[in-house]
Amino acid sequence: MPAHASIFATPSNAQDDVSYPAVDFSRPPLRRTSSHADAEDSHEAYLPQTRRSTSVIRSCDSSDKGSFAGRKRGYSEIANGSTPEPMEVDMLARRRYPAFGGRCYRHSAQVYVAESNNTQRELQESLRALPVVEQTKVSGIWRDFASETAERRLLILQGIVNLCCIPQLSYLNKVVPQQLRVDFMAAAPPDVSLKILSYLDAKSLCQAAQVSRTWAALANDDILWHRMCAQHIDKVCKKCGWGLPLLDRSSRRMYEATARRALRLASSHGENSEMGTVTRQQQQQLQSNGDEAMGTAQSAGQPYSFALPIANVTVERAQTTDSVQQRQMIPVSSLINSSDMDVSLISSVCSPQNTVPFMQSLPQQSHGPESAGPSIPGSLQNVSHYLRDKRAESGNLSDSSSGNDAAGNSAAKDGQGAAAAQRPRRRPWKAIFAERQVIANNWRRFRYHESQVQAHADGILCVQFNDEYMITGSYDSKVHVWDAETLELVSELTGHTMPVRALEFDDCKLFSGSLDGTVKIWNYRDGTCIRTLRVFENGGVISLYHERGTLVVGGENGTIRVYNIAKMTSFTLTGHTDWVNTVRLYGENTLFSCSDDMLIKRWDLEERRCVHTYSGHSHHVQSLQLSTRAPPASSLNGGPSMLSRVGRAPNKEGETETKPFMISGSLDSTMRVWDIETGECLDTIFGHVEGIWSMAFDSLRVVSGSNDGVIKVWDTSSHACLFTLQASPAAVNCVAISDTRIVIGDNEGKARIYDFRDRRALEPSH
Amino acid sequence: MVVLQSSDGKNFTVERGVAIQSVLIKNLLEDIGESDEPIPLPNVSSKVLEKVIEYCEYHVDDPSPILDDLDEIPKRSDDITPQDENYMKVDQELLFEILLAANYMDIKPLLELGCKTVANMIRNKTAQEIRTMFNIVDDFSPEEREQIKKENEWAEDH
Repeated sequence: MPAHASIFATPSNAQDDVSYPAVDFSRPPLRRTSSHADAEDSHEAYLPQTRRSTSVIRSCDSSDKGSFAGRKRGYSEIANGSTPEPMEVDMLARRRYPAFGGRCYRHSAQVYVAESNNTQRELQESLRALPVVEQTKVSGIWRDFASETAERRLLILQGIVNLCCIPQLSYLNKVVPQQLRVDFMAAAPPDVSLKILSYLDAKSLCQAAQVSRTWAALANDDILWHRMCAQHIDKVCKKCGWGLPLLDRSSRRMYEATARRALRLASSHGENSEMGTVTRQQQQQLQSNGDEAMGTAQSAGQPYSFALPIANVTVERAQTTDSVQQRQMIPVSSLINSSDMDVSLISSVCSPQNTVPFMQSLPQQSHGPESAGPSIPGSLQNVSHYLRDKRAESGNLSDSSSGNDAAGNSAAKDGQGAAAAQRPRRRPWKAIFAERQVIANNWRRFRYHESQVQAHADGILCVQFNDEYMITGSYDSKVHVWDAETLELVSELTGHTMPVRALEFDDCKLFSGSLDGTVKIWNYRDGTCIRTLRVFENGGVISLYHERGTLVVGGENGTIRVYNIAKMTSFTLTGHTDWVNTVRLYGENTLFSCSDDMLIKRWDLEERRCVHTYSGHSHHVQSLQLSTRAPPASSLNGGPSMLSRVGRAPNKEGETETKPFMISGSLDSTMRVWDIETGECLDTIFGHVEGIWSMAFDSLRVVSGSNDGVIKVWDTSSHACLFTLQASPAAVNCVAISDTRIVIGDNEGKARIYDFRDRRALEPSH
Repeated sequence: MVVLQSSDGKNFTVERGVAIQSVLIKNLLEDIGESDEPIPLPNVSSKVLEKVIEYCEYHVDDPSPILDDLDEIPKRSDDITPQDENYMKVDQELLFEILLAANYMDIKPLLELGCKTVANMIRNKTAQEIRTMFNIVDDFSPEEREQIKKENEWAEDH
């Protein structure tokens, strides 16, 4: 007789044996009875197992037509995407479902093994407390039960239940519901588990990830978190009303800077091994930026050939094919035609991933480091829509191989990629989501880090920043360029003879407009003035805007001058009767302007006339911003298919409820929200006590600065005031906003930066 | 009429409109044509099949679901009708079986309903509450638990 039988025959042995192996109830009992094959498995002694095991019969229901396991096999096939053909169904049913090894759910789920060990120990202890004869008897009952078929088990149970007194039934009543639970994540096919999890919010997913290993693996799945990112980043989720910052370049810059510091550190230490370490860390840093696969052309033996920043820049600079062509043809355009900067742009780049195929899909150009520039949401806008469609076609956005290609390309272009580019590991989408969530929480709770700098001797009139530079223009006729992180003065641009009222910069050039009537174009990195345009003879420059080679300048005399920079042609628009405070281009042919004459005007640049006047403000209209740079496709005259897809793609996602709008801020202390197309005033935002000198917004927040030194932050969708801050004792002349920061310039020459990033993340790793 | 045969050999006669809510059966009928032969469903027991048929009968007039699984559409799970909610008031074992059957028989609305129901059971619970709810053993090592707690801390900051 098999070993286990002898154990039962001599219960005294059982007492000596400290740990009994568990009865493997997970095998269909039919097998046991029919063949006694289990007898050979010496590890399977018929010792008391668990109360649970004995109480559950149905799960071992192996009347075989309805074998639980059999069912699962079939499901798993479906899960793998193959719908079984009619004749196949039965065959599939006979295949083993690997996760369960053909066992019943309850006895196959791994978690039960762990718990049943405890229960078994308890049972054994209780059993040993009994006289030997009783031990034999009790374990005999259990053994007999375990070896029965499903039907007989049921019959035996029916008998036992019938014999039970109330306390025993009460016990059953208590334990059975506890045991009658299914670990859905572990038991269901993975795609069903993921489907379940896809209905959860981030917080619940994070709790789910802490349940068990199986749950963690599923709840951290990239697909789920990619979806979370797609739903929340740079837009407000329709489900939870919660939006996350895009962090398109700021985080990249941040990590690049960290990496550069690390690199310097590495080169200052001579140790090879140490350098290797540092380089790996850099790489991780850079990959942890993660939003795009970057060219980490680097061989293990050459830590110095760490090519990432350069490769990255090269890729980034391939903005659009047409801009590249212009750059090649016209020398001056190298300063003009690179991407445009608009900190307040609402980009439709919905997920960082878009940048990857973007890089791949466009030709890459080599440029000098001076013209280096990060990719800008604006210039990606159309492309990203296109890519979104592309992505939809390919259906696999987070395919890391695409990233690898991009890295490989850039590495090769760089000429440093002789060594095989390491396959960049992508940062998990969950980490990307988490990083943004932390910043979003900081915004929500208004947790920020404030820094300030006395930027000028006199009031600051205009400010713009990106993650690398902050540039201020002042009454003192100077333009100062600052390092956006350290707030060190990078360069001082002198040449204007009157206050600098407007500036606009992108990655290689700066336009500044002054009351002296000129616009100067600077290489702000080295502080040289490339060109001076005398725009107005009879008054100062109040505002300017540049996009795609078109420069628009608003004047003190109420006229607007529009330049085609490549051709150096220009024309004048007249209509306003007072200072033109802000000008903004909208698409190819439309311009918006606002003025001290209390009006906002829409101009058709083709016909060179004002096509609409928006009236409503009761004082000077100081600032104006559009929710998008380009009109929706519907208003284009049957444009190319790519554009029309741009228009429809958001439609599908239920986003087009937000039509293009415009917000204006006025010295009448209000802001107004306008429908761009109809000219209707959708809302008037009250809250400030004194006049609003400046206003800026992104897809999530509006910031406004007032004459009394107060700034307010508003929700872009609901227009609710999120918080109010007495930012300065003097008037706030200018404000700017990004995903992570608010920058203001006041009338006493101080620039203040409110930074909502996670301070810990900013610390360099060394 | 279509005859469906459960794994334990029971026959269920249902209207075609009821049966073809299962894409598996719909495809099957299209492939082999209609016949009086029962269609075997070897992966679905009579208990579960009965429940599934109940659902299909109730939803026989529903418009066919929109086959739109775009990532960007936030998935809601708070849109379960009272009838469906009531239908789903079953023990976890049956719920699980229904999920598997819906998956196997390819009845999208029912699969979604089941997934939503389970998701609603998980939502807004702590890890420990989830373990209790589904009788799951925490199999993390202390170090792992510490690590995983740290990794998920950010989500708690609201």
